[in-house]
Amino acid sequence: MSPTLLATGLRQRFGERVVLDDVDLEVPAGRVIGLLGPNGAGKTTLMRILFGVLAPDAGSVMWRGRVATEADRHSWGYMPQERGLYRDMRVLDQLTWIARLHGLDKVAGARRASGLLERLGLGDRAKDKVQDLSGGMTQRVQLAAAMVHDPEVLVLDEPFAGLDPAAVELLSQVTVDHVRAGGNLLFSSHQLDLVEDLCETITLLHHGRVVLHGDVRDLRAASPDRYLRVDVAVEDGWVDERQAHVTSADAAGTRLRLQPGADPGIVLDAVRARANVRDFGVEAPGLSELFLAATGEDPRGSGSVAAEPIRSADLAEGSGPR
Amino acid sequence: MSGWQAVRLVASRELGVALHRRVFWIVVALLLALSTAAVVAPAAVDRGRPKYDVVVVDGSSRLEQQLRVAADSLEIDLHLSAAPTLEEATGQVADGDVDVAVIHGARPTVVAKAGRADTLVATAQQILGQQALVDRLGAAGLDPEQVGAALEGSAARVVRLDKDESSRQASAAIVSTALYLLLVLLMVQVASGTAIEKANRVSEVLLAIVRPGALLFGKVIGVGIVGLLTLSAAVLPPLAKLAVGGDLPAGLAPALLGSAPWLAIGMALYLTTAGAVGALVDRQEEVNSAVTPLTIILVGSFFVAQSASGTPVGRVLAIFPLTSPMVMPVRLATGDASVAEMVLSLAVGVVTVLLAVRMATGIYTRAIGRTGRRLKVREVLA
Repeated sequence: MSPTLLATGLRQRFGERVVLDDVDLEVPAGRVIGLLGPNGAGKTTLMRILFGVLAPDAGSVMWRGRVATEADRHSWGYMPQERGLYRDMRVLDQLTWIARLHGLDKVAGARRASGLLERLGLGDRAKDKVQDLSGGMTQRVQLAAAMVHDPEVLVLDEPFAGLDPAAVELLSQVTVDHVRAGGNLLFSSHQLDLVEDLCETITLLHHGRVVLHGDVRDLRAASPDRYLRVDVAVEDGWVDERQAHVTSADAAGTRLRLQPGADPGIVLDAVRARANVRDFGVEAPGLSELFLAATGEDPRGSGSVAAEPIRSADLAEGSGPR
Repeated sequence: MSGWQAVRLVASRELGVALHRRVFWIVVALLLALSTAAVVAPAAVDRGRPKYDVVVVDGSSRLEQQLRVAADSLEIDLHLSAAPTLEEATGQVADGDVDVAVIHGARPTVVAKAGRADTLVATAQQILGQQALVDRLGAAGLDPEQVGAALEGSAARVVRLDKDESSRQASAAIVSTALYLLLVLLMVQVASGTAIEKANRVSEVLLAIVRPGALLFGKVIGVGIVGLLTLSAAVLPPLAKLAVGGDLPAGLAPALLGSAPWLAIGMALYLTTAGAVGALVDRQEEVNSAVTPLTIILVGSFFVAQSASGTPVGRVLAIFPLTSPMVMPVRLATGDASVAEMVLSLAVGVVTVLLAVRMATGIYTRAIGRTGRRLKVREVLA
């Protein structure tokens, strides 16, 4: 059996506010696990509990079939949502120091830190102070800090927030390498579309409860919802509301949710009658659409949906308690 | 990784960062210069006892001896010479070759330039008068030896009290000022360092690796060592002077050496508490107001130490654990502290440190991970 990190029945409240309500989470080795949900859903609290930074009101964290100990946790790697590095320390010195806190000797720590910096494209910034790096570079150093002791378990809280696409790609590759090498990986994100291709299994949190859990491919296939994607802007009245409605629109085109039993061919013909469609497809729902379906929150309820494109990130902002 | 290894690593990081700061070396250099100046300057200024050249006309060994004894009690060095006549002696004074001329004989006279050696002049005048009395009584048939002995036996004794008092007070002031500045500076440094780590979320990364206690004590020990290094720059010159056999102001050596246990208690007490206070705040700007209660206690102790260490209040505050680190060293310098007081003060201090460390660790552990707003001690401990 592969080593698994397991959390069961986690409950946490801060004062009157319930932050986690009977949450289960499974992080088996060799799979990319995404902990997704809007800001305030309870992702960070859950991760802090995994790491023992916070003691839950109820529930337990298991590792390899037994209750996780402090020593277990100290051997894992954690990248918190808000980046935490000493700004006035040099990059390599800081990573080596963290490696030593993990019990590596100075030479081994420095070697490991240098290797990681090379891999993350920061080999030439090792002697710079953290305060002299850009935000994206700091984020990469933060990932290096989480991985400097070669942990089995890697827990990354919002690792991609604020990164440019190239940096997202680089960080994704490094984390996927960790999983392919047999490690355990859990990462969180509120940007559901951004991590859609990276996640193999997801746990979706909303208001502290798990609203969706499972293999991404299975979840998408199991959903009865289907969407028609066209590469043109679809205006009001073009399509019969009983057949489909617009859920999002941007420069790349429009996405229409097909009503149960609707014929995608008829909807496509209605659009083609008004505009010249060159690219289209009938697709299963994306992660943000699965989230919307699971939470029961009607995107139309938020107002100007037809006119404004809805991205999961927009939905995520402010929809949960902060 | 054991707890102590983690404490050592955290402390050595604090030390390393401090040693890389320019301001640390500026403060050390400044303290070293000031302290060296304070130790060297008095010796350079102090030219020893004043020295006077005195010429005596018609002197006797008895007169010269009386002059020497009187000079000694005035802390004056005399160089005596003889001259044959009043005129020649007066000429020597006028030329500035000697300071005072003392003429015994039929008409006892003291000659000096106006405003010069006034005390010596008055004393010489008195001695001459006495000598004249002895001479006359001798002329009247009394034995001069007996008369002299009778006169000497009737001389009033001079007893000087508290010869070192002012210098002890100065030592006490130096020690309490140094302790006060050191504790306030280090306290703020620990609190703001903790607050920065909390605000920057560095603590969150570190808490996933080491125990909160290791973070707190590592910081306290690291900052404490930085403080002691800084202090040593101020203490080294007087200790060096002591080592080569020089004199220090009375009370400074016992105050410096004897204060060490109270300095340790003060640092342990105030710095760990400051660490807990730093963990309660959410932003670095809140640190100063958060440590204000601690600063007020220190300011109060400082004033008591400076002005009332010898009073019953000072005696009590030298035992009370929050104030003893400031007040007791001063009582050591002034020599007011009894052994029983010292033992009691140390015992109370150590017990309080143990309790405070426990409480501070608890507060720190529960507060360091809770961000978003400033926390109250009560809600953290609840």
